[in-house]
Amino acid sequence: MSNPIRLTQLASYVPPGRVDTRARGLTFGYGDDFLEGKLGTTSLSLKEPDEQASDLCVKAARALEAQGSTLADIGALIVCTQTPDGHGIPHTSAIVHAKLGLPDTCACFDISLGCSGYVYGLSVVTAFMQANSISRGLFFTSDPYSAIIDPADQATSLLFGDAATVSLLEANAPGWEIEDVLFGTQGAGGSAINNQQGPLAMSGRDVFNFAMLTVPKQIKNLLARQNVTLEEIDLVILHQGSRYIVDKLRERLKLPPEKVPVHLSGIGNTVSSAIPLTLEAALKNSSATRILMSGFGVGLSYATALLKHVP
Amino acid sequence: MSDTATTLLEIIQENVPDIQIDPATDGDRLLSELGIDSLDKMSILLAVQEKWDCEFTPEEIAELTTLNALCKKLG
Repeated sequence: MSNPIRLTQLASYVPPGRVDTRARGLTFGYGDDFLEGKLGTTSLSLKEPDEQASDLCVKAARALEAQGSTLADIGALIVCTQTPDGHGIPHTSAIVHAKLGLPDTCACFDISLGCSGYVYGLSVVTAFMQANSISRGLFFTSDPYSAIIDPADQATSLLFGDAATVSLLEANAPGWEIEDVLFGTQGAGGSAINNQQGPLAMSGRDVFNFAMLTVPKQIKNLLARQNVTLEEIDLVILHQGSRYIVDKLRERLKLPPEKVPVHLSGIGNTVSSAIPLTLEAALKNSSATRILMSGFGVGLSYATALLKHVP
Repeated sequence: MSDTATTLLEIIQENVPDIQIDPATDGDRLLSELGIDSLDKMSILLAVQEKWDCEFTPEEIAELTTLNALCKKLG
């Protein structure tokens, strides 16, 4: 590939606020064992009431700068969100662009996807940069779901936390390169996660069945297409819907726990940010050179990518 | 014990390995009383649907609260 685009750095912002879900769980008949053991957390990260998606993105960008990266020469800024600032106009990426003071020459657009958004987005951003000879780009994920959660709703109020991440993508630099991606959609089942009445509503059973029946197949199809086995993959980063869903997918894939990190404690399911947050944490203690990531959820949409590290 | 009940117990043991069930006395007890929570029930019912190649409606799932109810449903 000429001028390959690679993921070179990851940063995140997890707000310091927390929702303690233990009391809330008891109102639904769930004790700490269920919350920690099945959902993966007894608290959820929570933004300030006046913070919006763009504010979390800016804080993630500042975290990226704190790691030593500059925002110079950024030619593309893409935000994946389904909880944009205000009512969605203007697009959140343009608001982030303004807050970061980036130049007029920077392309900005939003991607509307939920839990599969990071995998889709990486592919979109990489292809966009490649096609338009853009050498540096920022890909944000930001879904502050606390704004659309009904605290009395059993299916959602114990699960979702707020966070944002930013991925720096650069041409011809050492980093993670996409080898292959598979995408999927079951639009007919899309009502399983919706906010048509205002607050988020979810049929946990439908999402669970969808994930169990589609994700392992898609992973196996992608590996077969690349002639790679799961044994050759160092890390499998799954969307962190809940500990239970990660564990059950791992069991179906017959993978050991150390290969499939769970990153939910104190945070919760952060939608499009769940995969990059888990990846960021996993790579701190890993010498992985080949990873597989799979996102699934809102849509019902799913996507699986194989990435290799190019030194 | 019927073949259906035997297979059902195997599925339950596979999905919730930590619980002990005596089909002679536990058949009419609520799944929740046996230590099967709502998430475990999802896994068990998915495995049942895959095994018997069937699909339960939400209304049917709401009524499948005991082992005997499940066995009866599966014939």
